[in-house]
Amino acid sequence: MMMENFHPNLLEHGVGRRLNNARLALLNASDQLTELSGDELTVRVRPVKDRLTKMMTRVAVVGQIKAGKSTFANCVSRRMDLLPADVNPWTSVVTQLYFGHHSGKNSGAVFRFFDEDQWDILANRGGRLAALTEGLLEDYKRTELLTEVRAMRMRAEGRLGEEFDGLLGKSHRFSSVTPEIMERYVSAGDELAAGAVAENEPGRFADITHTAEIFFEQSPFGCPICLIDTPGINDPLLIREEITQQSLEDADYFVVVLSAHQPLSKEDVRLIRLLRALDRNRFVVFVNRVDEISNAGESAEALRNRVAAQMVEYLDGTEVEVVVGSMEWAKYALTGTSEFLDQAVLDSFVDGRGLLAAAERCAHDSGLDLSRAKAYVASGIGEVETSLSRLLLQGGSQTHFLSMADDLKSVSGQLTERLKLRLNPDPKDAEPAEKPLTAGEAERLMNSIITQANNHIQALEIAMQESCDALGDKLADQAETFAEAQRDEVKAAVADVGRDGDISIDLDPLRSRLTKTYKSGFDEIQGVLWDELKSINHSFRSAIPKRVEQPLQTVRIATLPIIGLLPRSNPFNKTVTFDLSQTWLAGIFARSDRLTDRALDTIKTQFTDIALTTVDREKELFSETLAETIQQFEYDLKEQLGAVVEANASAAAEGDTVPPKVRQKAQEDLAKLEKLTNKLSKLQADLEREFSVK
Amino acid sequence: MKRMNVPPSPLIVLDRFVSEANRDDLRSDERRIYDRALSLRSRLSGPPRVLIAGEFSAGKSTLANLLVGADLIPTSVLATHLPPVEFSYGKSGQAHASWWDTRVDVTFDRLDFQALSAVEPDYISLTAESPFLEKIRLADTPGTGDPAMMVDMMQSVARHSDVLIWCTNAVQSWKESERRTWSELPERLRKHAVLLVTHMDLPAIRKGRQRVLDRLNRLAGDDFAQIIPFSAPDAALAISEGNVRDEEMWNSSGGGPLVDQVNKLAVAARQDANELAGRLIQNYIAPSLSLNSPNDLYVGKTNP
Repeated sequence: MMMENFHPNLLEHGVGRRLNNARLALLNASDQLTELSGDELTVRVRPVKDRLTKMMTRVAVVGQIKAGKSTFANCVSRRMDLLPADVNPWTSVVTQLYFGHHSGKNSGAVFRFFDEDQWDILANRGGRLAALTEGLLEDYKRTELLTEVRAMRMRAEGRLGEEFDGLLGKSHRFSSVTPEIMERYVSAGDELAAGAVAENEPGRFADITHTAEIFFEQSPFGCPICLIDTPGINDPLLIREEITQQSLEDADYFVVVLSAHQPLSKEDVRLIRLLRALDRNRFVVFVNRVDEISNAGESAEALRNRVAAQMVEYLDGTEVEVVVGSMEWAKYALTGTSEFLDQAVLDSFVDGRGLLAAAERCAHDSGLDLSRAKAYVASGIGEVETSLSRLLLQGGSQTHFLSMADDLKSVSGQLTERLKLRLNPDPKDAEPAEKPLTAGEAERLMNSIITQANNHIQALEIAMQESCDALGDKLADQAETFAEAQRDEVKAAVADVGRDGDISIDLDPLRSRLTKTYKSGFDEIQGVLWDELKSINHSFRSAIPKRVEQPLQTVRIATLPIIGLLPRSNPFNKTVTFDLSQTWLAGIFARSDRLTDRALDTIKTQFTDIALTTVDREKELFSETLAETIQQFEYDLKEQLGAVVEANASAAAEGDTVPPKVRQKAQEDLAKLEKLTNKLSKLQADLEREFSVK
Repeated sequence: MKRMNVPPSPLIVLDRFVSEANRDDLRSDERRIYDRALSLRSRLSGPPRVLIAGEFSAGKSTLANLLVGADLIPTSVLATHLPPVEFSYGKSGQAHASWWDTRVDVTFDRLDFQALSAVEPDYISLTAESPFLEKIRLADTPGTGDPAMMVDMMQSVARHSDVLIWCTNAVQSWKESERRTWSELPERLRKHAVLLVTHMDLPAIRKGRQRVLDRLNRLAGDDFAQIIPFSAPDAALAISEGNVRDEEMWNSSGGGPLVDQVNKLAVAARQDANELAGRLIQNYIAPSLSLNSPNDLYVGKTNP
């Protein structure tokens, strides 16, 4: 866990720094606004501030067993002994490494155990996998799964003895973690003969550990990040597949680790196709273990090109960054020690790839000796960190930031108007015909505007609900049509090929059809909502009397929160069970019509359920956003009208005798606000330009 | 009752049966008999066939080249895809494009993989004068698990093979995808199989050798006649052109134990094939050819 061994110049990679700069600029602006308003705006700005403070980018490291995922996570964490690795598949728990958690926690660990219900589902009934495959799997395979589960249960009980019962639903906390502690909770451990088990045995708690959370300060990352290490796919121990699925659903970004021994196998493609359904090219590919293959120096570039070309093919033309390297070399570069370094292999790789000049430059810049500098450039660690940093600028961050900047800008505009009112403008500037707004008038105006807006929003809400329902029905129809079409096809294929044939149902076409329908449906609903909100703004603007036009000019219903809503990126991926367990299910389709029917019914039900749940969540999301938007509008309108009335009243009482000190302070604040507004505008422009990579 | 002094080789019967029948004219149950005859005919047409199988880049071709005594086929993570290749004992030089059915081989005077692949054979057949090939034939297949390969050709070779060497890379050994592919191979072949754990020479694997083997024993110990750790670089140092030069190193590389075990399995598998062929002829082929006695089968064949 020590960082001292690292070479200081390579300690910080700052992945996510640009993202964080935007975040900090927005946080800073919201603090300034609160301060300038004399805490008046604390409540108004709090939601934005909360969101910014709690922002956490989630990056999962995924791939097949023994690709080098844990070692990769250790290297980018700059903590070489953090995650235990072994010559055998060793990670059995999804481990979340928090860097710069908003709670301020920067050390220690929490290991949460399954609760009674979760454990019962997993250990007694075989988890989701078993539930979904009930009646589908040939008996012996199902027996195998249940045997495995039973073995796990007995192992857990054996390892923990009498303690076992007391642990479910609990968690263990440590104020600092050591490699030994980590091994006890997240490593598979070895199968031991029955009997007493040492307290500190690796894997002692692994079977019952549900999540592991480890906390660090933000460095070496440039932004708050949660790095998720996962058990590998394609493990003959099926229970780990089950565990890995959840991490796929949880993360925003992925690093796919491949082995150079088998650069892109069918299993990798299966995983990548699942990630593709995440809709954005939100992953980088790292081809690890190049130090273990022969003639790596000469073939590395061809290897990289081939994997990149295959990725383009499997991702329908989307380009993904592919980096070839070795985490063993990265380890050596970063720490100066390596158990398994073969200097001759490293030298020949550096020569073969023509990296000598780069290594010398690196040695010069970083102060590393040449051997370690060679390892650094050959390892690909720098390249993959740069790719990852670029990747983090894609995805949802941009729209969120833009919407927040817009909101803060509108709030700062309102504050400007309020300050101007307080300055009690020279009566000569005011229109002579205009009378000041009284409290009663303000209330009537407020009520009429709000009633109208609310009526409009209510109608809009009903229309939105109806559209969402219609979308849900349409999706369910598509799932049904697909399943019915497959039914005949699969039966025909079974009749044709017989028992030995390898028949499978490719769910990708269904997935992509549903995703397309869902996205276009979502876009349409979103578009209508946006148009309607604009039209509410328009009628509001034309309803306000001319004399309060100026102070109310920055009050409007925000449209960016609605526009900023993104369709759920991966709803139809939740059916991963069918793909991740395909090796298990392969037998089904060739067996009998009855099993085929059941499989297709399951597919239909799963997709329909997901469609309906997704649409329901969308409804909620739109509904909440509308409510929040209108609430904020109401709040802003009320405050601004109140400020107008108050300014008028004090003007009537005091004439134009605003004390010079107050006037001066207000003028200074106005200047600051103008600067802040400009800064926000610039930030918006930067966000629009910088973040739209590619 | 007539009595035969010497049991006739079933190969002749099988050969006649498949030559005379036309698969397309057969009923589906007859086709199954035909296919079994075809498979046994191929297995009995030379020394037992040893299938080298596994996922791509598991070290199959490296092993084949070592045993054959020459780098006859390309090995690389970027190697181009070849049809299955069979090696048998003989003077090297010629190459044949071959088919499992009764089609006649096409002979090429030199080893030109492009030309050989162009005629779309079921397999390419090469000869070499390696002592290892005196008792067995070797078949190297394109690995499974490669997404660029549309068809896994391993299954068709498996139907015509006697012994299985399943190569698994020690770095990522015995994955679920391997287990599944292996489980779909014919049961009789799986009964004559060794698990060869390649890349044992890698530094990290050397250090964790026992732990790797313990895991494999736990997961696959019951499924293989033997699990053999193998280091190709060491084996390459111990032999040249198929001849063992350093007995001790050959044994410690895993090459010695592999050859011993494979030869043992080959004898057992050949006995099985003979019994199987005898039953097939007795129960199905003779009746279907409407002969009075199985011995009548050989009458016409001896004097064409």
